[in-house]
Amino acid sequence: MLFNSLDFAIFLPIVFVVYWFLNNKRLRIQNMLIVVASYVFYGWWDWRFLSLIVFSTITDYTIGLLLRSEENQLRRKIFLSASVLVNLGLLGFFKYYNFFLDNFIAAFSFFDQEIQGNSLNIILPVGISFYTFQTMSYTIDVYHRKLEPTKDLIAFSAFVSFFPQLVAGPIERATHLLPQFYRKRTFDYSNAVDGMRQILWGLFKKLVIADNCAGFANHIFTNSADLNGSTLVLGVLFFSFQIYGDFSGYSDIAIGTSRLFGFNLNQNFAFPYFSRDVAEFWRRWHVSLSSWFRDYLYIPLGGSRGSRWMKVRNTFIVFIVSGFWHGANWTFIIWGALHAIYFLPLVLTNSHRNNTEVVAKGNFFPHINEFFSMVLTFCLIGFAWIFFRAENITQALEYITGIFSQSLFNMPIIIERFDFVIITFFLIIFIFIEWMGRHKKFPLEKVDLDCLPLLRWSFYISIFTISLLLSGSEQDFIYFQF
Amino acid sequence: MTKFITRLFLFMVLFVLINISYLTMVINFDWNFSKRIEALNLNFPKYDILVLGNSLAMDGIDTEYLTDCGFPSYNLALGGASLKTNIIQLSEYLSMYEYKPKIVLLGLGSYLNDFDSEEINPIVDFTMMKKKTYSLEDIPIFKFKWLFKEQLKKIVSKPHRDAYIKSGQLRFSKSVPDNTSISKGKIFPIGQYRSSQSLKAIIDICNSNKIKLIILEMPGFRNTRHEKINPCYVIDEESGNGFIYDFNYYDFGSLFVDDEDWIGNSHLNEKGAIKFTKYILDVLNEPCTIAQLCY
Repeated sequence: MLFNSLDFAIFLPIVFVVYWFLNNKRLRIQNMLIVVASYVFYGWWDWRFLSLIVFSTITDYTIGLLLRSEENQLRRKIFLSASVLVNLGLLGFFKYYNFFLDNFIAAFSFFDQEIQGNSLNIILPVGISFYTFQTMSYTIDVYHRKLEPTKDLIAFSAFVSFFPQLVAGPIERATHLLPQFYRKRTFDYSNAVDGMRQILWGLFKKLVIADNCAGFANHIFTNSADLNGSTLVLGVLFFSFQIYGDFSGYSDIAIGTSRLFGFNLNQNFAFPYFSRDVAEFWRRWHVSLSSWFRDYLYIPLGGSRGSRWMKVRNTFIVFIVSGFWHGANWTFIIWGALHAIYFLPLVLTNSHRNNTEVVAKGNFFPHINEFFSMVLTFCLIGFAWIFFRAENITQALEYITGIFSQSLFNMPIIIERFDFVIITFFLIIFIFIEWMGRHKKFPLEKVDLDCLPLLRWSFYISIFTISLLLSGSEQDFIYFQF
Repeated sequence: MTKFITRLFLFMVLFVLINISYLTMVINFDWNFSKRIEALNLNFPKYDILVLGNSLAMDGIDTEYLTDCGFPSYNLALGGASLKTNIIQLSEYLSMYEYKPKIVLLGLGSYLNDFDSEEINPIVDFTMMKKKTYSLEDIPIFKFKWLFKEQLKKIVSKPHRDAYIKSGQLRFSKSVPDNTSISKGKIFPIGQYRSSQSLKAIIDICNSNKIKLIILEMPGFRNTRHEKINPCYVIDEESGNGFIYDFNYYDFGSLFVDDEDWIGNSHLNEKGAIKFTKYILDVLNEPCTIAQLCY
């Protein structure tokens, strides 16, 4: 079920009303409702793959209980390994089987060795990369005794399958989300209203910004061989905003929806395009994934401590694995490696934590240095997006060659001029609103509830109406494919 | 909780009001919508020629000119209309009005259309004469979203404001040059026409009402054109109905002036439409002989 569908517009109010009606009953029934609602939400797409979620849930629940009663370190390691193997095994089969097979065949044929292999027609279950990482965080934390394993299977099932964030995150840590299922939730008006605002802003990002940018980005990337350099630059720009609007829009809707049910999810995007360096970008982009990799991969590897060589190794490992997490394609690996290259000078010079505060804090305009740092960082990130968006490495390289040609200085070729004017206008508005609210969790957070209600309501209605009337052609959420 | 539900209810009320306002706006200001309503409320029409098709035909066939030349005509074509939509329109017209047309001109572009698309034009779907069950998908702000940009264009662009409907034809004076180039080696996709089930359904309707069906492959931008093989084809061999005339071959395209006759994306403006309609008159006056027909 898509957030931007009529199905969800009917589903959400029903679940909301029943959920709070059950508020005065037992917490366990309320959690049960979340599990049922989540399974309906997921099964709407393909009910067969619910079995994977159930399997993953039961596996990690059982391993959690085994870890609870086990003191022997070796056995604890075996239990943890079993959990990681099951989760990564599922992920590996559904997501990476064909990739590894094809690359093995290609590698052998390079040495004139013919091996046979049959690619499988595998459907990638939506959200598998997200919920497997979420359940793994549970067993890892239980193993490290950071979290008491749960005996409550319903609460644990609700934690794994919680519908707002099931298919595209944020990837919640068990230490943060699971305890929320043990506590009685009470309806908080201001929290719910703020949740609605966040949903509204997420819809605007997805429908107006991402879907309109997608029309141009798709056209330009598909016809890149026939277009001039300046148009290709526009293609990168549109894709940069498409992916940001798409994914952060989804996260906003997910977080806002959770707040309606009394849950608090972590911020997943913190205005990443206002970053002054790549390290800051990674503290602000898909925070739940980058912090997952930081805590469960980068730091266990040694992080930024140790020798220069260790820092280089760890940086490359974490970024390449992060790239590979996005998809079974070399383009994602190159994308990750490029970010490692961007990040490396910062970590080697120990300046990767230079920009931890919000840019231009307390000021309207950024300092000139900050401005140019933001522009440079955006350019670097945009350059890497070319690999992320391209079908293959050859197309990415041709795209880059196309940009750095003489035609870079020609006028861009715009087919749908009116649509171009509209999206440019809304991009300017969007960037302005995001800039004004960059110190908040989302720009419309805690809009003053007492002042000018008519103006505030007009603003909401305008955003809502614009989101419906000026949305681009319907596009799937990009991160569903991961 | 009560306060929250009240606010949500208020929001819903506003949403309903917005929908009513939006529907009122598109009914009154959108060309397609107002044309559809006009077509459903014609006063004892006595048209000999009915034009069907999508926006290519809506813009590119000048029915007033045909009427002046002795062929009373009306352009029923609608932007974004599939053949399935045309079937509904034709059936409705024939059931509503006593006077049956003698000829149906169906303007299509094999380069733009999927002839067997299942989609029904939302305006026709919304205003269908036969009993329709309305659902949430018919909420105007969702269903007619695509018309909003057209209304915005009217606000910012004078040529859009100046465009008007005449005898069902949408007339644009604006011109957008054809900057495309010919891609050689294409041939007319007659198979696409012959295999279309929707086209067969239209022929059946025409046969049972003794209407001659003339299908026009509408002229398009240079990059859409193809080799001329035959001047005329017929689809239904049994009844001998469903004549296809190809007007999108390389040489025919030279009739049009790149900078003057187009309005973009292979659509003709009012100047181009008159030029093209003159050729349609040749077809009407001198229908292709059996010897010319290529089965």
